Parts: sequence; structure tokens; C-alpha cells
Amino acid sequence: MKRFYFEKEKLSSEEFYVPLHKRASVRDVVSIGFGLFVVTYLVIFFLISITNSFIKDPMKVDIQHMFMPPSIEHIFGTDFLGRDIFSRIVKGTEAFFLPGILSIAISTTFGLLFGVISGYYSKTISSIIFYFLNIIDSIPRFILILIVIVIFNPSIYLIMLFVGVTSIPKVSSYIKSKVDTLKKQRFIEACRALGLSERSIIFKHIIWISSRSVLIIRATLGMGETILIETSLSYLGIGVQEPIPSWGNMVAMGKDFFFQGKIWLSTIPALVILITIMGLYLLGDGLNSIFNERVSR
Amino acid sequence: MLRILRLLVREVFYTVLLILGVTALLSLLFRLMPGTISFEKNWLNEYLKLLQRVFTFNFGVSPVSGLNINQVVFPAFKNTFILTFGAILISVTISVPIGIFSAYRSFRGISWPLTMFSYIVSSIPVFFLGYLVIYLFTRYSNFIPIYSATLENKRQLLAYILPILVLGLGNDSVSEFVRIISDELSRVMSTDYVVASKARGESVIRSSVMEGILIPLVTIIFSRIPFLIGGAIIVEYVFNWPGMGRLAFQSALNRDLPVLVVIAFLSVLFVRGGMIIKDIILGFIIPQEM
Amino acid sequence: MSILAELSNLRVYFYDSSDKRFIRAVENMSFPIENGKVLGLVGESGCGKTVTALSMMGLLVSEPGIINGKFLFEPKEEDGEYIRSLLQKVKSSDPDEEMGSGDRLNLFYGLKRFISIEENPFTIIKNTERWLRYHDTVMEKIRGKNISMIFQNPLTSLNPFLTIESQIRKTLLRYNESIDKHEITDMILELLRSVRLYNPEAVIKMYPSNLSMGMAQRVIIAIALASNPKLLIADEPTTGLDTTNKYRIIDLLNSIIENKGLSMLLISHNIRLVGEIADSIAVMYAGILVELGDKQEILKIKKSTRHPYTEALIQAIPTDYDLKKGKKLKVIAGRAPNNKMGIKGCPFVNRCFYATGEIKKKCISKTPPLVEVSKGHFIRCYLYFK
Repeated sequence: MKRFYFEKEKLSSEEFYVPLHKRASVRDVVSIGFGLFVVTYLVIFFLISITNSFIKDPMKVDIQHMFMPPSIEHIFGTDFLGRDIFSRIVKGTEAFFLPGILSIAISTTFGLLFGVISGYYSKTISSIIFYFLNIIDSIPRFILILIVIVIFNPSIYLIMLFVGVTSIPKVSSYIKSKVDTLKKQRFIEACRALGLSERSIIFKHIIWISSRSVLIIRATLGMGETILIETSLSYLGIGVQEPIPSWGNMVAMGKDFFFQGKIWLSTIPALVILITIMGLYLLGDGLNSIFNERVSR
Repeated sequence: MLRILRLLVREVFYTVLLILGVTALLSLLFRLMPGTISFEKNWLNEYLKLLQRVFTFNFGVSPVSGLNINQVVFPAFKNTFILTFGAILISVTISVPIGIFSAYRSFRGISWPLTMFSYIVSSIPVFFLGYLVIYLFTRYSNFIPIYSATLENKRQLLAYILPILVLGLGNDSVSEFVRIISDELSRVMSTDYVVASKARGESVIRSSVMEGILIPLVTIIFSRIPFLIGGAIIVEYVFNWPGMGRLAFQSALNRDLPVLVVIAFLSVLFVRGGMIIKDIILGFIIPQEM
Repeated sequence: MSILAELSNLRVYFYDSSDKRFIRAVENMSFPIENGKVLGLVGESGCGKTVTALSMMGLLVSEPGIINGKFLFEPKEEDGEYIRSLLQKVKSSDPDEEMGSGDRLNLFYGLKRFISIEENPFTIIKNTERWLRYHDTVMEKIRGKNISMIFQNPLTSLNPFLTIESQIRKTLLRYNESIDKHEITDMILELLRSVRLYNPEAVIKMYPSNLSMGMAQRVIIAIALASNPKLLIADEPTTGLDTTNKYRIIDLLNSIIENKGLSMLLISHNIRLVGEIADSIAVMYAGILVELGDKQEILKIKKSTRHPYTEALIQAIPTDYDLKKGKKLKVIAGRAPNNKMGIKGCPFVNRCFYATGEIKKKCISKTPPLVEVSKGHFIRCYLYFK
């Protein structure tokens, strides 16, 4: 049949669609550079943390060396129990790293799924899907988390699963709008005219093209959100609890010592949170600006 | 006018539908909790009972804590509303000039550092920012007080300032707004009609850019409400502000699910209300379905 | 014959930062525009016509760009002094550069101080951003009131969020300060009638998305004329319209010019259309002026003294004779050259019918100079170079 003939020819519709990317401006390069730096240390810290090597024991209590300011021996100093802060920071990445990836995975897969379905199929299906998504979307995320915590008394993984679920609506609507514009583009008509099956059109072209754009932003933003939520919960005392280190509970524990002038206990984890989140957002921003923005005339 | 009214009716109708759905979800969660003191035999009855309470706005007494829910939650909601509203005002007031400045000069001179600075302050985790502010203001001056129920009226008013400031500046709001404003402004400035109006001698600033930026700005302001409520939980905790967020957290600690559910419901109303207002405002600006 | 505006030696290059080279958009472009007459600027897409017009209006926003040249313009009396004082505030770095001649002022005065190109060795000194800002203050007085410009796509030239009425009102209020509200509406209606929109009361309540292209273009013309400019620049005003509308608009423009004594610079790739109302024609190719002269001289169907490119353009117009005889339509083989900077020789040489043998060597080696073959008729070709 003709269909096979053309598929054999591999008439790629990518010919029509040129993945436009902008020339990287200085601002983009700096953003991406900084972001990559952040991602690098995150990964390194995480790997160090799970293999329990290279750093001092983050749990080791050492009363004689309490409250030591940053020094060569202890890069970030020690806390109120004499524990090395730097190693606690490194260990703290465990609290959010894998849960964050879980959250990203959930929000991306389901977001793509629902987005493509509602974008590609009829308006009724789309409205129904979005009705349910809007239900989730209307409840502020933190309140939902509190409810979930009360009901299930969950581990941080389960919490992040829910966080992922709460992000699905936004991802879906983003994908849906992308699919909508893609659907109208000429090259999809051309695909149909060539006889490519509907299924291959959807999978090969629409999902591939739309997921490329969302994946970058979602991964970076999602991890940033995860860190923010995990640290906030830990700060409030309902996330990761002492003595397991989390950047959030370190800030909480350390804040009481501000008045005694020992500001580094609280400030250093806060700064780490700040830099990490900013780095992730900038990375997402920079990559987004290069790959997703249409080159302006 | 008629068009706006039709829009309003449609939105309200959809919101009611959503409330039905949200209530279903919440009642489901309610039943899921192990050991809930529940008087209904099955979920459907639970749902209907909750629905009845929702539509009469009478939530009774929490079986867990014995609090009269209406008396506790409604004033708390009012306080959180004030906090959120003030925070939005501050975020917008600061972001708009920075955003405009940033778009006009691209990034020569001061604008980039200024934008970066606003990004940084915005991204400081709000719990730390809150504490830092408290520390600075209590250690070095007694002028602006932290909220406490025992303050006299005039001082109480001053106590409003700090939490609103923190929620407005932190919580990533300013960086989002600045980014959107400057992106959209640059985009609008290079559209055909702006160039054409320049060619006729009209000054760009006043003339055609307003509507172009207003639309994305309004959209994002109202879309941030859920985030602001989340941030309010932390800010209220830090500043001891008697709002819905602090109440939610306390309820979570007390395992007081009924109160939490009511708070969730009111938040949904808040969020949807914002969406409706947004759609109405946009309905005035955008002619027909463009 | 009085000259309203005169462009001299305009030179615009754009800098491509990814390939790190300059792209020549316009080179050594000069033409006069006489009072009350129409100059047609003709050329292929991409030959630099629009860039020329935008440079004249100071609407080029590309960075970093290079721009050089002189643009003499006679502004309205009430603006002359003010513009002169603005220009005086910038001291030109070239002591010989004049601020103007007679009543005409050089709107590019002081440019050399910001952006200049030296030939030997090739250096470019530029401060485009400051130039654009300075130039903007000068051009603000010119745009709208003295020179108005209309663009190709009328629908995108209108603000999609406002009604037609509000948009015209803004312009009218700008140029007639103390006007009563009711008078303004009457003026708006009158203005729309003057561009042959015969149901103005309905039109003013519409949004741009409700208008057809033809109506929208008329509205644009109305707005452009609202301020009573001395010069109207029309950049491809009919290209987006269907054929019937094309001629209607051209006809409209013609009658407006006659009634108001306007001058016009009409830019188009359609030489036949331009010939309908132009008094003189300038032909442009690859950023260079190749011919300039009276319409009669240039548009004679039979062979006459013309630049080979113009010749080819005229020949390419299908005539009834060709169609009856079933002849093939003539095309100009080849494509316009890539506008790299520093191209030597005539840019048309690869597509030129006459470039053969001896003369071709000359064509390749050096760009031919502009030669005056008869009064007011200039051609840039070695065929006419003695």
C-alpha cells in the first residue's frame, strides 16, 4: 500500500519544522552556566551522601566543638551539637533528590498524557479532563499537603508524589496549548496527506515536539519546587525531622542562635537553598529561552 | 456589557460545579483517614452532609478539637485575605517599574543588576526572610511591632506592615512578575502596531503598550493566589499572624481534619473568586473573542 | 521644481553577530523628492527599499547597525526652528558637515559623531544606542506631522484592543489640542469619508479584527493624513490586497495627492502599479540605486535607454500581445545576490543580458558610477558610461 511506500521513504516532516533556536545571549549563557554549576554540585552531594564517603559523619555529636565558626577544619562550621554543618548540608540533599525526581516524573508523564489527549481529541473530552484537573488545581498546594499529612502520615516520598500530582494541571494546560498550535501547523496536514497513520502522527511528531519543550522547564522548575516544599515542611517540623539533616530543619534549629551572634547555623543552609533554587530556575529560564522561544523577526 | 454578564454567569456556574467536585474529593479524603470519627455509614451520605454544610456556610463544631469552626475560620480567612491582598499590591508596585526598566534598556547599565537583585531577594526562602526581618526589626528598633493580640489598635496597624512586606517581596512573586513584564513588554514593543503608531508620531510609552502588558500581568497576578496562600502559611507561622495559614498548620498538628477541610474549601473559593475577577477584567480589555 | 526632501548617500549595514560579518542592506542611495510629486521606489523583495524608508524615518531598531548619509528635509514652518535647535545641540565631528541648506535641514546631522565608517583602513566607530536615542528626539517632531508612513499589512498596524474611533481620536487630539468632543467625532467621520469609506458611523465602532483588508488600509491612510503631513511614505500599501482593491487604493492615493498637494514616496515591487501614479521612478537592486528618472522615460514599452534590470522588469510585465500569442512569460533568471559587504562590481552582473565579453570585465571589477544619460535621468551601468 502507498502507506508503506512513503514510510519507507522516511519522508520526515521534520523537514518542514525547523527547530528554531535562538542564538544564546550573554544573559542566557550566564544563566545556564550558573544553573549547570548548581546541578553539578547537587548531583555530587547526592552521590557522596548515599555512598557515605568523603565527608565527616553528619550525625556525629561532638559537644566539645560546638558552635565553631567556619574554618579549614569545618568548612561551614559546626552546629549546636558540634556536628559538622557542611556534611549535614551534603546529607541534606537526600531529603529531596529522589523525591524530587519522583515528583517530576509524575507531573511530566501524566501532564503529557492528559495534555496530548485533551489537545488532540474532541472538546468534550478536553473539558472533562480539565474539570478534574481544575479540581486539583483550585486547592492551594500546601493546604492539600497538610491534609495529606494528617491523613496518611506519609514519608517524604509520598508527599512528593502528591506534589507531583498537584503539578499535573499546569503541565497539562501548557502541553494542550502547544498541541493546539501544533495541530494547526501545515506539516501535520502534510503528514495526513502523505498517508501517515494517526497514531504515528501523534506519537512521533506531536508528543516528541511538545515534550521536548516541556521537559526542560518541568525538570528544573519541578526540582526547585520540590526543594522549596521539602525545606519549608522541614522548617515547620513536619517534614524531615531531627536528627536527620534537611536544609529546612537546619534553618529552623539554627535560627534561635541568631541573637547570640551565631548566624551561620541558620544563614548557611538558607543561602544554600537560595543559590540552589535560583540556579535551577535560571537554568530552566536560559534553556527555555534558547529552545522554546520563537526567533523574533 | 451583556457579554460580561454572560461571562460572569458562566464562570459562577463552573465554580459551583467545581465546588461539587472539590467537596467530593475532600469528603473522600475525610473518609480515608484511619480512625476518623465519622457518623455516616457510607461516603455518599458523608458527601451530601458536607455539601449541605458547604452551601449553608455553617460548618458546625469540629469533633476533634471542639472548636466552633465558623467562629474560628472566618476571621482567620479575613486576616489572610488582608495579608494576600497587601502582598499582591507590594509585589506589583515593585515589579512593574523594575520590569519596565529592564525591558527598555535590555541589559546595559543598571538594569541587569537591579533585576538580578530583585530575583535574589525574591528567591530567599520565605521562612528565612521572615525570620531575618523579625530579627532585624526587633534587635535594632522597636518601632515596627510584631503582631500580637495584646497590641493596641494603632500599633496593631503597624504590625500589618512586616508580614505583608515579606510575603510580597519573597515567595518568588517579584521575580515572576518582573520576568513576565519585561518579556511581554519587549514583545509588545516590537509588534507591528506599535511600530506603526510610532511612525505616526505617537509616543510609545503612553499609547499602545498598556493593553499588551496588562493582559499577561493580570493573568499572572490572579494565578499566583494559590502560591500566595501557600506562602502565607509560612509567613503567618513566623509572624504569628492570626490567619488561615497558621490555623491550617495548627490544625495539622492537632490532626484536626474537619477544620483543614473547611480551610481548603474557603481557599478554593478564594482562588476561584480571583479567577472570575480576572476573567471579567480581561473581558473588558479584550474585545470579543480575539 | 522645488525639492521637499533629498536623501544623499544613505548607507545601512547590519551586523550579524552569529556569523560575525556585516550585511549590506543599502549602499550609496540617493534620490530627491519634489514638492507635490510622487517618487516610486521599485525593486525586488529584499533589495533594501523598506530599510531605506525606515532609515529615513528613524524607525530602524536593529543592533548593532551602521548608518551613514544625509537626509535633507524641509519641515513645516512651526517645527523648523525647534528642530534646528535640537540639531544644534549635537556638535558634528565633521567640521564640513552642514546642518542643512536653505529651508531644508539635515535630519541625520551629527550622525557621524555616533556612527561613522572609514574606508582606509576599514574601521567603524559606533554608538548605535545613543544615536538612536538622539535621533528619536529629533524624529519625534517629524513623524506624523511632517512625514507619515504606512505599512504593508493594515490589520497588524492597528492596535487590536481599541476601536477605530479611539485610535483616530488619539492622533487627532495630538495635533489639534483644544478641540471639542463633538467636533472630534465629526472630524473623524469626515476623515473616513475622505478616504472613501462610506459608512463611517459603523466603522468607527468596529475593532480592527472586524475590518476587511481594504477597509483597514483606508483607515490607515486616514490616520496617516490626519496630521496633514508634507510627505507620505507608503511601503507596499497594496501588496496585501486583492487586485480590485489594489487599483482602488492607488486611485485614492492619487486623488488625495492632487487635492492636498502632498508629496509621496511609494515603495513597491510592482513597477506597473507604481507607474500609474508616479511622476518619477527610482529602481533599486541589491541595496544600490540603479536607475532614477521620469516615469515617461523609464516606462516606455519599446526598447529605450534603460538599465538592464529595469529593462528586464518592464519586459517581464505580461502584455495582451504576449498572452494572445501564447508566448512564454519572461523571467529574470537567477537570484538576487547575498548581501555581503564589500562586494565589488555590479550586483546585477550574473543576471544581466548585456553583460558579455569585454564589458563584463568592467562590470565585475568595479561598481559602475551613476551616469546622467539625459536631463534628470540617471543610470548606473557601463553600457552608458563613456
